[in-house]
Amino acid sequence: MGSKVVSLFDYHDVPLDIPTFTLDGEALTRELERLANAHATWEEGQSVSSGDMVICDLLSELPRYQRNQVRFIAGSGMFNRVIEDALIDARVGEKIEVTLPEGLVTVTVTSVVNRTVCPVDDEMVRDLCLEGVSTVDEYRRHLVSQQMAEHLASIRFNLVGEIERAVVEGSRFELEESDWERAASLELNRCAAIARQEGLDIKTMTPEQFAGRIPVRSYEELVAMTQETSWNSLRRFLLGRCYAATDGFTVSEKDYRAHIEEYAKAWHLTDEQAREAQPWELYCFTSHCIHAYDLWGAWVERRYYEINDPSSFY
Amino acid sequence: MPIQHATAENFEQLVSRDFVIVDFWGTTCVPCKLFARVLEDLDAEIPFLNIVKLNTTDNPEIAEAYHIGAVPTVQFYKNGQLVESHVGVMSADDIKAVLSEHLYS
Repeated sequence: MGSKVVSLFDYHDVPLDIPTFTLDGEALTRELERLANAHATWEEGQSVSSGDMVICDLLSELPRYQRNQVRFIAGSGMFNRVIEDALIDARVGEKIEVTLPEGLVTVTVTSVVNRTVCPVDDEMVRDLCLEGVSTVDEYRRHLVSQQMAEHLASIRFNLVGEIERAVVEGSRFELEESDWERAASLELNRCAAIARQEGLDIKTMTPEQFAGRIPVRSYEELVAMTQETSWNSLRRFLLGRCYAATDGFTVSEKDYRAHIEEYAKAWHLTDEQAREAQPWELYCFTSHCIHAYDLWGAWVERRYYEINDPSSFY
Repeated sequence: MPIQHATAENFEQLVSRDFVIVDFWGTTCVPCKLFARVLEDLDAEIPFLNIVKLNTTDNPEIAEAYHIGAVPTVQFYKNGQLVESHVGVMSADDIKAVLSEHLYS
């Protein structure tokens, strides 16, 4: 490609408005409770509490409630909420009359299995097999880190977009029309190959056939959309290539083979079909675009953790 | 009862038990991960449920045989017969409503 970056705007100089992180204490508690619940123990008991397993005999004129040895969890709503709630505090052998809107049901509790949930301990945490996490404190830190990572992920896309816009606007490019045409062709060929693998001809696809696949109604619209976006794709590629020239990023045949293998597996294709949809040239082009995104994303992440120090939330 | 991870070899056997919830999920499907948590919580709350998960990415032939067009798809089997099918994430309360209707019928 003859196109190139003439002068590069340093992305480190893009002003970013990084939001501050607020810990969701309730979500943290819920996660700890989930872990404790997963280790609940069940033991034969004498009286019913919410969450216990109850086995009972039912007597009623209503067909649904004419049965013995019915098993459910009290208070769960899985059988009948009114009956389940009426059994709270009932004892084994006790007979309880429950009036439902549709009629009377007599319930005899024949067996109760009490559910006991212990506080989270290190052993429960170790059962999770999380790398570097073997105590409750470490798990709590892990959960905080997860929350921060989710928060970062939710803002990352927009911030990387801000960086890209600023870098593109602040840099100078020499763009050749033949390169723009090549970028558009790569994308159109990709779409054509995928369509072909689905038994379709991209040039004659109907609006119904495009629906749910590509947000256009005709091949002509697809060409117009691709041509419009290809200037930006080309700039992004050139920026990625520019970064690669100084940071040592390269695209290797080995990575390409791994990508093809993964692509073929994900889309249930043969190796040949995967290579048709993802030719080497497209892979190189896309990899450089992604390289630029990755660098900008890594910068956003670094700035995020400078502003939101994880240790202040532990 | 621990959640069972089915394969092409044991899938039919696992869904033929008295009442079974089957989660057809995909490796790259984000909503499937959310639904996995719903099922884990349900399994902890109701330990006698039979829950079977089938990875449709690894077992496309089973997904095709059971006409799975999207993931997650949740199917409910009673004595090997399909009694309810739902495409998309279900809440725990949605699942309990299905249990209430079919588990005790």
